[in-house]
Amino acid sequence: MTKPEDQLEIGNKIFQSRLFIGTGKYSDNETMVGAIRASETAMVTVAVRRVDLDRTKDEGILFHLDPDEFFLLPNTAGCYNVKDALRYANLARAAGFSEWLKLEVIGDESTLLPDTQATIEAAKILVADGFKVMAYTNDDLITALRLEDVGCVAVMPLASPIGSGLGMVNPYFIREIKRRCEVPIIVDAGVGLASHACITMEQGVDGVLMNTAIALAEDPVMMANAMRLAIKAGRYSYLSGGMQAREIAVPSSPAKGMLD
Amino acid sequence: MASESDKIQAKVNGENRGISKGLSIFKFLESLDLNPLLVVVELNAVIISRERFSEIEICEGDQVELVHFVGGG
Repeated sequence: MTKPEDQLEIGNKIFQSRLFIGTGKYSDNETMVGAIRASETAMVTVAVRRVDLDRTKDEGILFHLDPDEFFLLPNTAGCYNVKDALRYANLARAAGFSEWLKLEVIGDESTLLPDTQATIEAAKILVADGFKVMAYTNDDLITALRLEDVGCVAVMPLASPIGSGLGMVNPYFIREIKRRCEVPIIVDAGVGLASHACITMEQGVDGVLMNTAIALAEDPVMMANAMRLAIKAGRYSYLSGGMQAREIAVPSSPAKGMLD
Repeated sequence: MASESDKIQAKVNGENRGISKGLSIFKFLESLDLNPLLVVVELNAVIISRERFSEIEICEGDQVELVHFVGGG
């Protein structure tokens, strides 16, 4: 149940879920679809790659995912410069589903951290060209503000490196990004467990995008369920205005009325 | 039986390939058993809209990229 007043809106589109799911790394397509359904996600990411001409049938993800049922967010994963990111973005748009894009421009192969300067530059060009850009970035406030300035519909700082499963390493900066940006903040990458997803949502961010955490769980469908619940739990925990932690015990039962 | 002279050489997804002379993109995709609605075609670094698949022929030395959506994060 999502309260109507707590709907997520990105780029004038309402999303019924705050959990976004990647479609990579699943052992098989049936499990992937099962996990996506269990997650009740409102948007799934896909990548753009060459058709494998040696085994063409049944390979593309659209054989398994109905674009009418699942809103597709193509990414520019694997791109290391502005030119490649623009090329992949245009190929993705030419597929004919939408102008939405998850922009990634990677700056380092070992950490997969973003090239923030190239990301901002690419975002500026793509927004001017009519794309709705959701930009993957690091947990740097200034980059997040610049991405918002150039017109991204959402800013997507990482919780920790892509595929690491380390969870949120820098909650302070994620909170600061959320406080300072007006566009939705979707934490993208690094979540490994449902507890991480919950803690991430408790920072007040608008949503979480994850892939490996679900795809590489022993039971991806069960993990997708766990993530769905964790995202809701974290969201409600944040909205409820939790108590201030204090390093002192305070009894929950009245001191008054004890027997002599 | 098509002779070698009926074929042109093009680079498709990075690999050299002999293709029948005069083959449109649409017919080429058909020959590969690919659904034109699910494939995006880039010809010499220019994206070709689906409406033009039937009218554009693949020529000698062309660089053809056939891409589609796959699983990704």
